[in-house]
Amino acid sequence: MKLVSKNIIINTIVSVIILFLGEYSIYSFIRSKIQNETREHLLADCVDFIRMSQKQENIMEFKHNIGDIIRIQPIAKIEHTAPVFQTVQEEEEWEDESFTTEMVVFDVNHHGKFYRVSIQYTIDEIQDQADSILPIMLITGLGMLVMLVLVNVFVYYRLFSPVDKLIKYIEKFEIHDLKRIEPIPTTTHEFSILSAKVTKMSQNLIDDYKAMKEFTENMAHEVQTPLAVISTKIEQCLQDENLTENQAQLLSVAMKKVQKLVTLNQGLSLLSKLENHQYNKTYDINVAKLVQERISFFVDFLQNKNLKLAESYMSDMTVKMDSILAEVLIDNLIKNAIKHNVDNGTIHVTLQGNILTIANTGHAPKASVSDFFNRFYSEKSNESLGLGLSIVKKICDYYGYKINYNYENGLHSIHIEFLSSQPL
Amino acid sequence: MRINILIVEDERNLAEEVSSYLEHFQYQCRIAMTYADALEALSEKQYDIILLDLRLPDGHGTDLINHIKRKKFESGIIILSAIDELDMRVQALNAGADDYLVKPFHMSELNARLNALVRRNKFKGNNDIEFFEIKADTVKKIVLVNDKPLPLTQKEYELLMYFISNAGKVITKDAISFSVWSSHSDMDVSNEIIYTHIKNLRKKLLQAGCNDYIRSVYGVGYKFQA
Repeated sequence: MKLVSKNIIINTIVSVIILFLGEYSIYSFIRSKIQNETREHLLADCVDFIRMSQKQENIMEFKHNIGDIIRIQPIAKIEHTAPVFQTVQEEEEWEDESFTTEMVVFDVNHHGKFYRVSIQYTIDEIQDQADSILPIMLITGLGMLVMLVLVNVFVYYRLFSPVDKLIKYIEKFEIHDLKRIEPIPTTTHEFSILSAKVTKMSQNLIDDYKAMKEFTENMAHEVQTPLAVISTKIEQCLQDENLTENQAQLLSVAMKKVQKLVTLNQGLSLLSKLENHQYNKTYDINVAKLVQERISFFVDFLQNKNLKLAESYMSDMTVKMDSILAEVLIDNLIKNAIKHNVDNGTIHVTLQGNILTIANTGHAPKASVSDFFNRFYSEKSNESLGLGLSIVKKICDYYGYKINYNYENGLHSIHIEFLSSQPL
Repeated sequence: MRINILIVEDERNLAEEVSSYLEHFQYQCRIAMTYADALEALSEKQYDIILLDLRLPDGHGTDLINHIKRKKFESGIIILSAIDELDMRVQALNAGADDYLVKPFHMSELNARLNALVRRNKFKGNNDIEFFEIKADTVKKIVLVNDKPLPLTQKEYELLMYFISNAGKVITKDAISFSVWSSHSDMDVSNEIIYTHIKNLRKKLLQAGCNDYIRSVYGVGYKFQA
């Protein structure tokens, strides 16, 4: 939820609560004020009645203009020594309606006889008058609420517009663009601190990233060049006419190890580039087409082991990937399926929906299944580097694809589910 | 006519190895170890081929390509770089380089690519290769032995071209694997595959009445020699 909406909701809830509490307390205040006033009046009437009635012979025929309603009845003995106040609903005599009255009840001793007198005042009218204030207050309150919301929105868009801008900049920030987050123009102290910090942090990130990228590239360069020298020197030695078989074998082993280092260096630099998110150009790649194309490069390898290839493409899906990574991904899967296959085995390639499965016949795995994607894991440690599948895993992680491996009925299967196609 | 090659490479060992390998094939090589050296060499005469390292101590290879293109030299340019990145490749090729070889490379590979480039640039229209009784048209990809066509598979043809380019030199299996099977060097089966293909190629050549030029060198590599 947006900050401005949150703010408005909280403000509205609090204001409405306060408004209604206010309304209620004013309502009860006026009510009790009316009651108190009326009761004071009743008490005065009470005194007047007693004073004036004493001059009369017969209290029942006493003429006066006290109260809206007055009832006098004889009683046996005095029960109320002090006047008792009550709020009473009176029934209209000829209608079904009732009205509210304030009543005082008191007992009097009139020339030796006891009477109970009750005086009542109708307070409905005066209450109605007082109540008519409430809607006015309510309207005022609601008007203020609307103003509050408007002010909030205005303040938000005015005061917080630099922050909004900053957020947009941060959202747009991609480390490999090498563009820092520019400071936003603002006169608010806190925002300018925030903005300056963000700019500085983005600059630091970019510097670190650049340094790391440079290091990776330099590393590859610095290692590749000596390797190139070694490799050419060995080739030069091999050209010698007087080379003995033993020397040739030694040189051959040295050459193989150099090649291994080269492959390792390339693999590691690929992995580190992946970790640094240095692949960000994407193309639409048709998975079925790509797989078929890559497989064609391995025909000789398939024939060599007399492997059967069972392909089934039931989907025409395209993914957004870097073209090199897509090739590396598929190549590594195929290589893996060939390398760990048995002679006269089979490779199943299936593309169904958005799931690519490459399965190959092979011996049961010795170690736990999760190790397959670990760097340098290799069952026959001398023959391969064990980087292949870890590169596959990294590429899948990079694009948010789901990958899993399982072994069932003599078949090693790797499933890749192409989900979103944005680098994570 | 000797072909002039300028090797721009700051690693002396590598430059000298390249130079000595290529001189074996009658190329004339000059080494420039810095950007400044290269400029000086280029001001003295035109080179047919320039082998160029992208990272030089005092400059960048692409600037040199631009310089060459500005001067309208008709030199072929092969980049020798330790940087195996698509961006760099595209950048260099766009600037006008003809080929891009990642270090470390096999001498035989460099030589084969050099030959192809020389054929393209220097002998316009004439793309024939001759090695005694073997003739090849590299455009139509046809091989004649004793003037009779010899049907070869794609891989056998590539193998033969690679051999002829590097005739007289020992070519390692790795180099063959890299060149003909586009670098699946981490595939442990490639030796057998190479063996099978070479065996087939040799059989076809012999059946066509060709001399046996392919020699195995202690199981390390092969040598194509008269």
